[in-house]
Amino acid sequence: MFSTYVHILLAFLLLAVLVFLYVSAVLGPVIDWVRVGVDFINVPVVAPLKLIKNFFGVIFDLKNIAAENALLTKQVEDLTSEVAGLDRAKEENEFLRSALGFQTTDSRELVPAEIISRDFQNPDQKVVLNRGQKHGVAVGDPVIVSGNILVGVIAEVLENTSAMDILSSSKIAINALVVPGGANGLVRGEHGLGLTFDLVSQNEVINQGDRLLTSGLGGQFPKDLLIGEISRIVSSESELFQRASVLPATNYRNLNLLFIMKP
Amino acid sequence: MNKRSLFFGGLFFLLFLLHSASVKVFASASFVPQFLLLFVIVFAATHSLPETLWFSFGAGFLWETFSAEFFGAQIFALIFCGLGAYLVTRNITAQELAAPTAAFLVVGATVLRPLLVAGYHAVASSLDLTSPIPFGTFLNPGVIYAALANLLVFYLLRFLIRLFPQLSK
Repeated sequence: MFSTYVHILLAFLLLAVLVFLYVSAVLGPVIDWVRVGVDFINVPVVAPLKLIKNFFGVIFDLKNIAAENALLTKQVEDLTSEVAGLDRAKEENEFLRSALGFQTTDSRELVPAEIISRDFQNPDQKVVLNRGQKHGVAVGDPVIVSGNILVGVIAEVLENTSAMDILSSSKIAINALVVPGGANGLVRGEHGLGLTFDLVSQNEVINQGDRLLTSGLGGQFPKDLLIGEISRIVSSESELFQRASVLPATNYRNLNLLFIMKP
Repeated sequence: MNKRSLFFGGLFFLLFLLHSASVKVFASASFVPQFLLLFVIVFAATHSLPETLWFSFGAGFLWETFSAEFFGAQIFALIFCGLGAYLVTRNITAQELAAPTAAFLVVGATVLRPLLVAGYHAVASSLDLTSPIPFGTFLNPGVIYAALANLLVFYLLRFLIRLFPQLSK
């Protein structure tokens, strides 16, 4: 019986030592290399799982495909005409900015990254990426997907890998503005369940379907990154601020190829 | 280190690979069974306490690799789950896992683990070692789906152990 207690004591002692090593940043490289190793070894495990997912995904989605196709065709038509208008407006904007001597939009260097795995406990809050310190990644770097859609922020960096907080994570708060209208507020993650647009003055007008972009205030995020659109206003007029649910611009569960924005 | 320990160590690592690959592919991980937790329970029911303790420790360490919580939370939680499963199968019920006992163990461990992680993380954040995470992050409706998925796979594992009894030796 004595030896049993010794084993338990030893296990907790070892845990304390490991925590100390982790806090002293000695254990970081070990975790980093385990992540890299797992990413490499997992390739033959991931491939058949993807096949299974795609097979069942097609079966479950079959009935929606026709309706989705019609909707997407209409959206493509609408967006094509919108893009044509925006291209012209962009040229005009750039010309006027240079004429007035305004600062042009900043172009940051992008580091492409792939997801190695997700947090086992909360897959909607944190993912591990295959890019780290040696690729120039730093804590606080914004992460986007194609289309300038903001999806997360780098929360932890090791030599070869890094961890990203997804926007729906409870640790996220971003200054955002509404287009059209320009109402300012704060986008917050809802513990992996979604996004909320909060602290919007009652004097401002926000409507369902309005788009939310980063405002650039605070400097952490460049402005004009797309976050999502307002899906429902959940506050009443008697409240001090307006609050709304936000539909993210992309499905955070389908993320694969990401781009880390270096300052 | 004997052959048996190597075999179980390899098995734990394979389950870890399967778990991390499943979470990567099926991002909505609520229905992805927690293979490491299940194997810790099966291991605890069929092995000695020191063995259970160290294999739970190892499983926890692997789990830490992709954990968003402060380091050690998963090791701490899995050690307690392993010890709990060991005590339940030795002192309260028969060692042969009856269906209701198995259900109690699996559901209990699935709910207990996030609570232990939350407690550990709360202590770490109160010591300013990390930033706090809201409690709802740990205990949410996803736990119900996880418990169901775990039950399903656990009964499958139990069936396999009966089919290949040498696994429990």
